Amino acid sequence: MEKRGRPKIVNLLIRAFVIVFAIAVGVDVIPDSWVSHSVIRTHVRRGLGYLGLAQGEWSLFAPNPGMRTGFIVGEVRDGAGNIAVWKSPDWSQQGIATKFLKFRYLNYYQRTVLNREASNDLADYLQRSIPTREKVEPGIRLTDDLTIVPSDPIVPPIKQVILHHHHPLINLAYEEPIPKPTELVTTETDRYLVKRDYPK
Amino acid sequence: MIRFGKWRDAFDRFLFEGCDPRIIPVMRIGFAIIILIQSLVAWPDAERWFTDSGILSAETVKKISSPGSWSLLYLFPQNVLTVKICLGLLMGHALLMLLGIASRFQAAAIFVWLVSFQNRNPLITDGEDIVFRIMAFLFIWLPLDCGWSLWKRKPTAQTLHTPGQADAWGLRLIQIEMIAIYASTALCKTQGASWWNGTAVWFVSRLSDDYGRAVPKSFFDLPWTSEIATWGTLLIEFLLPIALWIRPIRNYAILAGLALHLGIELSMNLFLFQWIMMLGLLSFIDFERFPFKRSAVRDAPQVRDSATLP
Repeated sequence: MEKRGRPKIVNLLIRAFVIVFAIAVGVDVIPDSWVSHSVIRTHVRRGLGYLGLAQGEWSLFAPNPGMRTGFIVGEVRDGAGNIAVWKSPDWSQQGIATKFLKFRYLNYYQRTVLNREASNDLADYLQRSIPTREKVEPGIRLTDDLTIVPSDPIVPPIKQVILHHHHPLINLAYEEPIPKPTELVTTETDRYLVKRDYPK
Repeated sequence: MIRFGKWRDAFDRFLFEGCDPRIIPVMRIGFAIIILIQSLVAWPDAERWFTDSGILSAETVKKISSPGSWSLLYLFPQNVLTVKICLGLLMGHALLMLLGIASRFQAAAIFVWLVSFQNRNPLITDGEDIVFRIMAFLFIWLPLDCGWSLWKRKPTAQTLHTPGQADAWGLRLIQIEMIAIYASTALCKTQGASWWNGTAVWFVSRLSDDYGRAVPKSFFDLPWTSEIATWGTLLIEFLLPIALWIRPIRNYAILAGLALHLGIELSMNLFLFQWIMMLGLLSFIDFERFPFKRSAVRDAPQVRDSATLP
């Protein structure tokens, strides 16, 4: 019998495919806090990963909006001991068009600070790319206020790269009410990421 | 057996009688444009993002990725020429999809390239990229060239077939995916104190990286503005997974979803996320209950009931 213009077996396969898809997606997107150690979900996610269809939970500013702000600061030294400072873009100072066109940069720097392997790769990239592809400001960074004291220009090859993540921290718990703008306290924090030496 | 038969018939009606294929060409064109834009934005930085001379080596990616993460880019030399050829192919497939030329094949190819590029550098991707690739996969199952297609103008027996509701069952997959996203994020937000006390949007407005378009962050300094925006978001995300299935209120639910995404687009820089989500919402459109039904029906490709197909 042909139903809706298709052979019966095709309709059967379509039904099965839709059901399997719906179940797999449903299992994959259930929040981790609801089923943190599900063996079934581990297998479903692995299977979806092989197919290129894994997605995971959709946290989207949940459970609370994470404060992913700030920029990365790199201190680079050449063989003569000259120091220069590299900075990733400070997105709070960028315009709408730049934020759109450089959106991948924004994602990259936000995620790199959370991953040591990726931070190592960034340091290696800077070692290869300064000063041809990545611009630096010759001088020593004063950690407290980010003021840069000028020094002699660095000369490649770069011998050492140290990365920090500099970001403002809002001193407010998620359970607290919104403070008045004049009462809002933020702290500038500087977190060490990696140090890479390049002897040769 | 009788009860099973009833369930099966109801499921068949859900799959083969409930979707309107007239929206499919609109979605195809919108999706192709989005893929072209994201590819063009990636083009100048292809070497930086996707080669070993860039910021993330293939070796590191394999260490930090989940098992089973594959990419065609691993098969080729890790240089800028190879990556730009691959990116060019992705854009070519998107352009052909835009024109409606063998779009199901283009969707399959776009899916493979999106997975390849996203797995080669997962650090530059976010939620929208997940929607891109899943949408590409789901587009494979749709009669994408059923309207506004150069392909369809060729008078072959195959292309003369006019899809009906029975051929648009793939829209159900997109609808399921959209529902899954809204339900998942709504449930995730129930775990956060800021979503319950109405301060979440105030915190979001302090994300100097992502926030900052037409709505100034000072707008949310008044607690009631943050509360309305926070609870409004939560309400819409909770209601959409239910309301989008209820036909009398479906179009209103779509409007609420569009308002949510346009509101976020006006205030935040999240690249193309809002646009791909709005495109996904279009899969629910019910032309029969559309407020501007006459003009919409006149302009859209004609639907033909599958029962009358040859």
